[in-house]
Order: sequence, then C-alpha cells, then structure tokens
Amino acid sequence: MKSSKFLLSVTLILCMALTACGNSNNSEGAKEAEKKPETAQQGQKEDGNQVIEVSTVSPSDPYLKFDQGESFEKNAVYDAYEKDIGVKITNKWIAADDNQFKEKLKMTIAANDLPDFARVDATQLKELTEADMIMDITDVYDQYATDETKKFLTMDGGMQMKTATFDGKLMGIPSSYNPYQYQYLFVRTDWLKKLNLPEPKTMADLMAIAEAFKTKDPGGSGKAYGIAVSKNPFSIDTGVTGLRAFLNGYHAYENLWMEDGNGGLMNSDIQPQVKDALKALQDMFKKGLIDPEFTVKDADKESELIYNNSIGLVFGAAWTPAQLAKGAVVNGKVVQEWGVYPIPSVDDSPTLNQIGLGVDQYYVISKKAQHPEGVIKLLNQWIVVDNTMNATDEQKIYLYGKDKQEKGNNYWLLNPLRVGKQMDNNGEILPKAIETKDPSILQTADQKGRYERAMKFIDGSDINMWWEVLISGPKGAVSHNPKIQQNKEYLQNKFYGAPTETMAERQEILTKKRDEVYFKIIMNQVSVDEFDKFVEEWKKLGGDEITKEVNEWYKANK
Amino acid sequence: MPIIHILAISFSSGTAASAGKVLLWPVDFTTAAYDNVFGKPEYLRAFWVSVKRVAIGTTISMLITIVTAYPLSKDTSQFRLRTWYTWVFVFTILFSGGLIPMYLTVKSLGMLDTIWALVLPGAVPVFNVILLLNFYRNLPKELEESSRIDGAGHFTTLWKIYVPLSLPALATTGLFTIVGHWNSWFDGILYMNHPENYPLQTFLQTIIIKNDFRFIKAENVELMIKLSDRTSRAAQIFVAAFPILIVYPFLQRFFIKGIVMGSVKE
Repeated sequence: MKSSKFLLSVTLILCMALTACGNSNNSEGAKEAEKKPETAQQGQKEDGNQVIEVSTVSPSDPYLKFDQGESFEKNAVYDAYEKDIGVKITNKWIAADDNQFKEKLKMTIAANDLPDFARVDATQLKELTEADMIMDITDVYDQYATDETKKFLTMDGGMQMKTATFDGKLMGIPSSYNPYQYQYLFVRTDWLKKLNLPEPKTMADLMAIAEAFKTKDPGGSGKAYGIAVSKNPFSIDTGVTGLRAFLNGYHAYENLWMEDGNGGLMNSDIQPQVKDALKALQDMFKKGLIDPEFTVKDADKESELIYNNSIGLVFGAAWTPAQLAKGAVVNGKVVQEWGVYPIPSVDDSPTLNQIGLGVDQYYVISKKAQHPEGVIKLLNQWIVVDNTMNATDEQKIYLYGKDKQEKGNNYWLLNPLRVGKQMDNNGEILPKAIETKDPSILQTADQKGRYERAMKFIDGSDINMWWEVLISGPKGAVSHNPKIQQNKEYLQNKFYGAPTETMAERQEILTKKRDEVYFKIIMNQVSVDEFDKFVEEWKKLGGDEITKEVNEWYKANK
Repeated sequence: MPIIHILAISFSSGTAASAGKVLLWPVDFTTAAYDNVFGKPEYLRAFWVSVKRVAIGTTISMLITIVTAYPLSKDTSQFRLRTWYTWVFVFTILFSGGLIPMYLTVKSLGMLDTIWALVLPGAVPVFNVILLLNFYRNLPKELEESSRIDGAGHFTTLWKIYVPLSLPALATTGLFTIVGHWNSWFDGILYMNHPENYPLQTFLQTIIIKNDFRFIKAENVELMIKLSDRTSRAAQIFVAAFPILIVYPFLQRFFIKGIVMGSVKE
C-alpha cells in the first residue's frame, strides 16, 4: 500500500513538473515569435490608420447595464476607442464584480496568462516585477504619453508615480485618485435643535450629545444609541459607521506609518493615544451608547438603526450622505436633517485627518504585449474625455454610451483604464457656487455635475438629490476641506512602498489580533490595560521585524 | 424562520426593508421585486445554466458512481487490484492538486467557459462511490450468483439486479449530487470567463456580496443610493432556493427508506 501511494505521488509530481516546464518553454518561444511583429508594426504606424489590438481583463459591476444589443465584446465605448485613437480592446475574461476580479486575476497570474494590460494591486505589482512578467514602460510612457497626461499623473508632486517605480524603472501606471479624502462627523441637526444642544466642537461635546441622543431618544424609536459602529470599524467600513475618525479625534491613527521623532517611522496601531481612544469607547459602551450587537452588523445592517431614527451620530467619508439618504428622504420628503462637522478633538490641538496615498492599484503591461503604446493611448484618451468641462457628443459616448444620455447605467465603467484626479478644489469652488447659484466659477466636469445635481434639490425639481447638497453645498462636507488643507490638519501615511516581506506574511495576522483586542476592550470584556499586553505581543508577532523593514525602506527612499 | 424572513422582505417595499421594519410579515405588500427578478435576462439565463448543469452533472455523476462502485464492491478473488484501485480513489479525498493546477488542467483541456468545466472536474463523487459500494456489498451474494447461472454478464447483472435494488441508495446520493451542483458557486467564478455563462449561485453571489466600501470613490457616490435593494436580493434568494425546497420532500421518501434498509441485516 505504502509503495503504491509513493508511486502515485511521484507520478503526480513528475506530471506537474513536466507541464510546468512545457509551459515556460512555450512562452519563451512565443516571446521570440512576438518580438518580430512589434518592429514590423512600428514601421507601419506611420500611416496612422493602423488599428492595433490590446487585450485586457475586466470586472463587471452589478449596476452596469448595457444598452440593447451591447456587451463587453461589443459596445459603444470600445467602438469609440477604436474609432478615435485606433485601439481595439478585447477581453480575455470578465469577472462579475471587483472581488471576483481579484480572485481570477490571481489565477491568471499563476497560470502565466496575463493579458496585454491589467489592473493589479501593490503586492502583485512587486511580485510581477520580480517575476519579470511585466514590461518596463519607462520609454513607452515617455514617448507616447501626452504632456497633459504626464502633468495629470504628477499633480501630487510625483509621489504616486514614484510608488510604481522600481530601480528607476516605471513598471506600472498608478490607478490614482485624490488622496486628500477626509472624514467628518455627521449629526442629526433636527435632534440638536429639539434637545437644545450646541454643535459638537470637542470630544466632550460629542459625548454629551451621544448621551442625550441615547437617554432622551429624540427619534422615539425606543432603543436609541449614541453613535453608529459596525463590525469593521477600523478597516472596511471606515467610510461610514467606522471609528477611524474617532481615533483621529484622540490623535490616534489606524495602521499608519508616522514619524517617531528620531528620523524613523513607527506604526500607529500601538501608540498610547490609541489606548485613550479605546478607553473612551469602553466608557461609551458601558453607558449603552454603542449598539451591543455592533460586532455582527456590517455597515448596511447598522445603517438600519440610522434609518429608523435610533442613531444620530455617524463618522464617515464625504460620500456618507449618499448612505444617509436612504433614511433621510422617504417618499419624496426629507424626514431627517443632518449636519456635517469636522472631527472634534479631545484637546486643544486640532484633529489630524489620517489619509493615505491615493493609490493602491496599478495598470501593468505584460512583457508579451505587442502594442504597449496602445495602452498609453487609452490612458491619454481617458484623461481627455473624463476631464473636459463641456463634453462634446463624441466624448459623452465614453461616459454614457451611444445615446449620450446619463441614465444611471454606469457606462463609464466600460473604460478599461481609468485614473482619477489627484487633487481637486471642490471645497473652495462648490460651496460658493451653490450658495450664490453661480455656475460660472466651476472648473471641472465633476464640479459641473455636482452643481447641477445640488441645484435640482435646491430648486425643488428632485428631492432625491438631497445628499449632493450635504456633500457639496455651502455647509456640506467638502466645505470644510479648505481649512483642513490650509492648516495642514491631515497626516499622510509615510510608507508608500510595496508591502515588505514580513508585512506580506504577517500584516493580516497582526490586524486580526489588533481588531480582536480592540473589540474586547470596547466591549468591556477585558480591562483597557490589555492594550499594553497587545503592544508587546504585536512587537513579538512580527511587528518589530516590519518596523525594521519599513525603516530600512524609509532610509533608502527619504 | 430565516426563509420566512427572506420571503417577507421580498414582498415588502424597499424603504421598509432598509429601515429594518420587516420581521415575519411583509410591510407595504408589493411584488415589484419579483417582477424585477423575472424581468432580468441575466437572471433567467443563469437559472437556465444551473438547470442544465444539474441535469448533465447529475446524470454523469450517477452513471460514473454506479459503474465505479460495482467492480469495487467485488472481492479481491474476483478483482485482484480492487484494494489498490480503492486507495487511488480515497487518495483523492485526502489530497487534491490545489486550486492552480486544477485551473491549469481545466484550461488546457479547453473547458473554460463551457458547461463541462462545471460538470467534469467533480464528476466522480468518491464519497458517493464508497456509500454505494458498501450498499452493493451488503446485497446478498446469492442474487448475483443466480443471475450468473441464468447467463447474465456483469452488465446485465448490474443494470437488472443491482441498480433496481439500490434505488434508495441512489436516491440518497442523487440528492447529494443535485444539491451539490445547485449550490456550488465557486467553480463558476473560477472557470467562467464571461458572466453570461455563470450558473445561478455564482450570479447571486455577485449580487449579494456587498461592494467594498474602501473602493467607493467620491466620483461614484450615486452608486451608494442604489447599493442596497434588499427586497430584490431577497426575491432572488428565494427563487433560487425554491427548486431545492420542492425536490427535497420527494427524495426524502427514499432517503428515510434507504437509511432503514441499510440498518437491517439479514
């Protein structure tokens, strides 16, 4: 019996080894074969009419609705690219949503079956670079990217491009977005009025409001809580019903690398300020200000309490009003009034909003790609069509499909390569424009869209646009941005390299451990002193190692 | 209870559902969610893929189970390498090649994006084979001997004697297979390159799994408004669970009988 098992495993291993070798041989041969047409193409490019083909992989989206007769294979957006810049897009595969996209992408990488270009995360970018599977695009980018594109992608001073550069070689295009995304405190202002409470300026105010909301139950739901907290308050749900902003109010930060005062970096998760914040949360929990079931509720479930008038305090990102709208606007009437405030601080020094780098994904080009320049052309075109103030009919196709009408079908998702602006001045422009009803000062397409939406609410033609006013209006979320920006009331993550070796291996465990300890403290199952034990453990479980690696990186990249 | 809750949500209005007002009875009764579900071509297409998958998959699996269990139920005197073969089968329960080799195999066999990728990789349910094999072993030897004396070969014996006698066991394993095929979703994600080939559960997965809030950028807030249409999700879940709810009681009959039969020794 034993020998037969052994025989079997040997055969299996042999089989695997053989197929593996076969594969690499194949791809080697293919590479040789593909080199030639590239040079040939280069010569032909002169006539300008040559349509080149690039393949990619795409995630679909539950809310992407195709026009009649269109699909991922054939649609108005792809046609527009082919017509306007001569790049034909094909899909090797399509995943149903972003999560599945990531799963399938792992498979595709493992199978060495990359399309011409694909969107990958920071870890994959590093792995693919080391495995020599993706192209050094320094020259292609230099030659084909327009000046506008180059300017667009370095608006932040070139930080994001730097994260995609390894040993001076550009290995990917950052799928950038605006890193200056702050969090705010959202409060039921109708309740404040009803209970005659002042607006929250300090954490003490916040506690008083939370307690009043709980004990006096202004919503009349019978089981009120002080503040909305969901089961992932430190990671996934930080955009709404999270606690990251709460930590920030105590000058504590969630998994961020900050300067330690001695020229090095340290992790924020183990700093004493976190203990203060946890202590405060524990007190709140004891007083019944936090839903005792929060550990099993995701943001949507917890939001039910907001919708049915049980909670009037929420920390969240600028887009939080879109979530609140489901409870605030019912049957064409506004039934809840909300106000937006900056995150209060626990002491005299202002709260620093923690922000990231604005990039966690990259577009990479496979080594086997025949037309890397096609990818850069797609990038150029996207930047043009997504940023014009007054889009022409042709440009509208890229965003809305062939009938050029916005109808909420998310057609823009079909653009295979999308990068966002790294800066915006919405905070300066929008509140002013909406207050004075003056569209002439608007500068970008995004601002124009937001202005128009907000106006629909103000002139009463669409009550459902309530949320846009709370985001962009005179007292909306972004109206606080100029002050934050001017006084530099933000703290940016200082570590922007790809995950270090130990980080890749241990970070997940450390985060799990952290959440477990934080939760136990909040729920008053253990004393707040347990935090000190956690710090020791964190260091032992790889935290010290990670800190060392991060500091080595910091020295090399400062 | 959870099913009643889902059913209640599916018949309620969206506002009531997202405010958490629905418990066991619909609030603001409406069938809009069902109209929406059946109006979706993707949904019906996925449903059809699942039906096909169950039909083809169950047929193939059952055939293979029967013809594999039969020889393996013989004594070593009749089938010398029996133990060795059994071990080969059992080995696959304990060890698998892993996700990536599996994917590569399916890919190089050209089965990606076809129904075969869902049906063939799991076509030999070893556990079911062992169940049936043991069932065969417990059947009286005399039956087989008498059929051999009457001139029947292995095939006739199998189809005329063994299969009819093992109907309860077949129904049991059949139910396992049907439910397994109906409920599995991961292989759909893995092997299907285009969403129109997704079986129902994979399709549902994509709808029910929440979008990751981290990736909601300021530009697509409008999405948020639509993000939670719980009633339509509930309706889809219910429609998906319904066929199994229907099939179950019918096969349950055999299920119980099978267990009873197996428990009595002659």
